[in-house]
Amino acid sequence: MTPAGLAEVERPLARAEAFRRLADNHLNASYRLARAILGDPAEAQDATHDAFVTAWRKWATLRDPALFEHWFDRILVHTCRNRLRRTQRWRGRDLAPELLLAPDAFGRVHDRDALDPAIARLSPDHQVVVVLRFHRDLTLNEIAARLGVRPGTVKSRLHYALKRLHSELDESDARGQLT
Amino acid sequence: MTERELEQRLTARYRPNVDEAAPAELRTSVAGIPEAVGAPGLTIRGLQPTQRPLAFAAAILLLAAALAGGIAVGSGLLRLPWQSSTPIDPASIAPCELVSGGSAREIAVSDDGVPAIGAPNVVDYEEWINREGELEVFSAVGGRTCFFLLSPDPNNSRGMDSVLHLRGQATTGAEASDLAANIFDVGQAPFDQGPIIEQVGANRAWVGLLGERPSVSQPVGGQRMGEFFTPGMAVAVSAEPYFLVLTFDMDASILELSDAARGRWWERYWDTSLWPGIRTPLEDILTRLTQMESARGQ
Repeated sequence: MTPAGLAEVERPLARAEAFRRLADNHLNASYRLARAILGDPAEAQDATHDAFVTAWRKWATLRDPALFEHWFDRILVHTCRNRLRRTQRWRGRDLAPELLLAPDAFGRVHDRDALDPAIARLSPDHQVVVVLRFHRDLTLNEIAARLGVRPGTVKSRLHYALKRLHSELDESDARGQLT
Repeated sequence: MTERELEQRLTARYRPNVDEAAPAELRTSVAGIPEAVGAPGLTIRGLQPTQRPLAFAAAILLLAAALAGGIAVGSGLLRLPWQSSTPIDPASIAPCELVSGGSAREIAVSDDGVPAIGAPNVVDYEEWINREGELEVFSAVGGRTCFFLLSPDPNNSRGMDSVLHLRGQATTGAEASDLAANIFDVGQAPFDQGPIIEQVGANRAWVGLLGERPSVSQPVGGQRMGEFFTPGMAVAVSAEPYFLVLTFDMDASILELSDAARGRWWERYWDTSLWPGIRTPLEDILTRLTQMESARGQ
């Protein structure tokens, strides 16, 4: 086989190897992000897998492997947002065992009981912004870069999302004090 | 509760998640993607300049083949392909009641103050990336096969800006409305406000405001901002034999406006900002579609 022929064989192999290495390195963080956005572990698993399939198909558009995380985050967030848009409804989630064992278990479980439905009632775009801000701890500019929107749009979405959460949690807290 | 306390609650909400590991089966399935999916698609960017015209021609042929498949599936509902490039006589295009009128109208409001027009819900679809790196979306809705092509951008983020090409006949307002209704699956034109009627080259465009609402839409503190989020603007263009719908994300600040004020706002926004910016790209898209049809006819 000629050197050129060898190169043709090796290139796809090298691409697959690079994909596997980067995917493996970023899998935990990606799954956690999907889990934070979608809530349900099975949904998060499916979304993460679908996002990696998309990433592989679009592999040629990744110009610099150093930018993989940023590049892949955009694909993953887009995938999760599409899933949210299709199935936006509140579904019960199992409480994590560690919450039940925590010293202030009652308070935290109550907090999560009120907070999760309130988050789930936000629009997909608002949910994504909230997760990127408070789960990933990203700045407005970083969120804007991942969503492909202006920082002003992110600021506005975050403002309305927090305002709505604030209102719903205040109502929930008031109901809790009455009972 | 103060803003700071809310932020602390949100931070605490996600804290248990920060050490969670991906399931082992996910790791295994992701590692197997290159074998399972096959070689990644090529993009125009990844090719040598001398290869690009050939690749582009191949992409056009693939696109044309996909569109021909759409015709085959919906043949009972579709007319013959493009036959003439002469301008469409505006008099022959009679918008149906749902999309008629040239100015914004007040939306119906029910007793609880919530607008009566349903939120648009995009139907389920299949999607994949084509060889140009564009996201193609196919959907069989209401017996018709619709073809959507979401415009690519250099950062791989589709965002909310999208171009939807519908392969089908939409030469009248009623047909356009029917197709749009199929897309948004609400049984009516997907406009909360409008439409404004524009002329794009030889084609007519209907411009309206979309409003999205959550599944639970209770007013919060008596303010309307709790009922709407992420409003969008849709531009529906009948360009025989295509029907295009472009949607744009809107700034959420207009949520603070009343319906009437929002109607005035978006008409002004359309005239002064959006329309001048998208007119040329829209005409380019229509030119491309015309060229594709010419290529198909040869």
